[in-house]
Amino acid sequence: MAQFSSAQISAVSHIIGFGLLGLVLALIITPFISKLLYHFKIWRRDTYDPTLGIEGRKGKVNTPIMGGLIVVLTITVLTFFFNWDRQFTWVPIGGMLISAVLGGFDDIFSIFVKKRRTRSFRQTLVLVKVHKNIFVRLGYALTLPWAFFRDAASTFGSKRGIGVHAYEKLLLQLIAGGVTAWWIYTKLGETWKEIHIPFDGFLNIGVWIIPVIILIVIFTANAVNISDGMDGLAGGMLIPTFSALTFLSAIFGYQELAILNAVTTGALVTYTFFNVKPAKFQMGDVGSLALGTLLAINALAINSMLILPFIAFMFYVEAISVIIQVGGRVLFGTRVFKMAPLHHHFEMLGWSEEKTIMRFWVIHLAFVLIGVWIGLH
Amino acid sequence: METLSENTLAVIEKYLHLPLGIGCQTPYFNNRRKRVRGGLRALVGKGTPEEISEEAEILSVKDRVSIKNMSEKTLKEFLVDENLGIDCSGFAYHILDAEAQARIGKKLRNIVKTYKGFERKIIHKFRPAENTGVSTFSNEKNSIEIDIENTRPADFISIIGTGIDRKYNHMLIVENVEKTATSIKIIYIHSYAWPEDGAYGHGVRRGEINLKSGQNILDGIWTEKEKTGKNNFTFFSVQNAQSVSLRRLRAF
Repeated sequence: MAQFSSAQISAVSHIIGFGLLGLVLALIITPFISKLLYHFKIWRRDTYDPTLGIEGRKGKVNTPIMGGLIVVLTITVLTFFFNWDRQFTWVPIGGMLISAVLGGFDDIFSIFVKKRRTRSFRQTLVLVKVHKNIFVRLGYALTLPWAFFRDAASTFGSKRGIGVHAYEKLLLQLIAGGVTAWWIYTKLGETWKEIHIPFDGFLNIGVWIIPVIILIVIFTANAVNISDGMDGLAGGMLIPTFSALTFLSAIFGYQELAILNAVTTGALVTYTFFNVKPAKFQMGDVGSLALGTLLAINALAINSMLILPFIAFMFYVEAISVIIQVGGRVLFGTRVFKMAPLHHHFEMLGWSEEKTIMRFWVIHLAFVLIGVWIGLH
Repeated sequence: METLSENTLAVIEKYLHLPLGIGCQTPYFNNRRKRVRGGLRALVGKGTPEEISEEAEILSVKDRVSIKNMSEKTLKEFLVDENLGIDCSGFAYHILDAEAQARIGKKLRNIVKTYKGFERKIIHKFRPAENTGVSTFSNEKNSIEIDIENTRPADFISIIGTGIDRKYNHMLIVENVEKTATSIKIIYIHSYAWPEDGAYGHGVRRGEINLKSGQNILDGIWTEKEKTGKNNFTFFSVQNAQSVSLRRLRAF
């Protein structure tokens, strides 16, 4: 049996050390963040969250959100001071922070800003037809594609008019995805232009990899965001996911990314400790969007695009359940699930929150292990 | 006495007494005013009793009210306030669909076609109940006019061009037929809203038409909610319609 060299052991020790540092730093800043959230009453309102009517969830009213700040700040601070590498960590952190800012605005707007209305496609069409000024009509006609995009984006939104609009989210996520795609395609090297196919080899799809990367970043960020709906659900599933990324990054020789993923794992352990039922605070969009973006970028950075569906399995399942639900409503006029995303469906069926979370954790862990195994080939 | 199949009668019974809490009559809801687009069919007046009940339960969770504790009156008001209900053609669709499956083993979507263009045909494939209205049922390619003497359960009375400005269509489903040598009694069922019903009194209900042999449908005595003649708004709608005909689906 091959023994690990002292250099390898040292590297692993180094990585785990940063994971522990992330855990400790998150623990240190938690009381401050928590106090801030309670002081400014940054908590979930039942006026916009209909799921708070489900039996077992009524106690979540007035639970602070934006607890994900603990994780985001820990990752940012430790990476900036100890792991600030132009080639490998600038863009993941940049992408994460873009999404964190977006999520932060969404959380704040949801609580403190009145419902914002936008003109729908149908309303714009009416104005094109009826406005007395022809130049104004022309202007409205030119904005029709934009109005259509806004309406289409809002189909998947859950809080119409509250917080950041769905189309605004999509645009900022496009920027995050675009930056990631630019970085991977132009800065990392020729190897990253090809997709690693486990058990097979590499597949070169040329410039088509750019939209694929953008799509993956947007989808994964929203998938984690959608999954953050129960105490400890998203946090508990992100721990094995980032652990898997830590392991794979180390195996493939990306020390900087391994450290980044380890720090994230450590911070998540602390966060989840306080997030399990009854949660002291919830992640909020500031954390879920940020971590979803980071997850996607880090997986892409170690050329593990095809194992993402495994290491982010339950996140993807939750996101797909929303797509199925919306598709069922629009195409067939019927509900496929009692409520989407999927965890609410099981809640509506009478599963306790704890049972739903535990089952999701276990299934997710199983698929993460499968993903790691596949990724090693 | 001829009657509809057991399955069809079960569907009617569910509309008359929704499987929800203590149960209540399904209200009438027409999507004309709300103009919901791409929504659940339970929310556009085209849902089955199960879909309407499920939607009511989900809405009760969102609104943080308990359906279990509601009286029949309160429950009906809750449904109306949440825009849950069924319109005339939606009701007819599900009744005739149950009857088609019982009689000929086919779904109604496969035997009633829309004739409004290619785009509509595609939409009809996905959302048949929402795209099968009174005019579709009454189209010559889907149904034929029949004589009163030959009336059977699952026939329907098509009322075209009634209401204000004569822009409104309506239909009644024949539930039972009792014939003697000199008379015919037609028991119909439909979903309708009379002006006097107010905000909450409308919904699925029965009525009857008593005719002597040889009489035209308009000459019979129409009774609904114990009202006849001009006091019977259904009869009033029939009298003021552009055309009224007793029809049977070609597949039946």
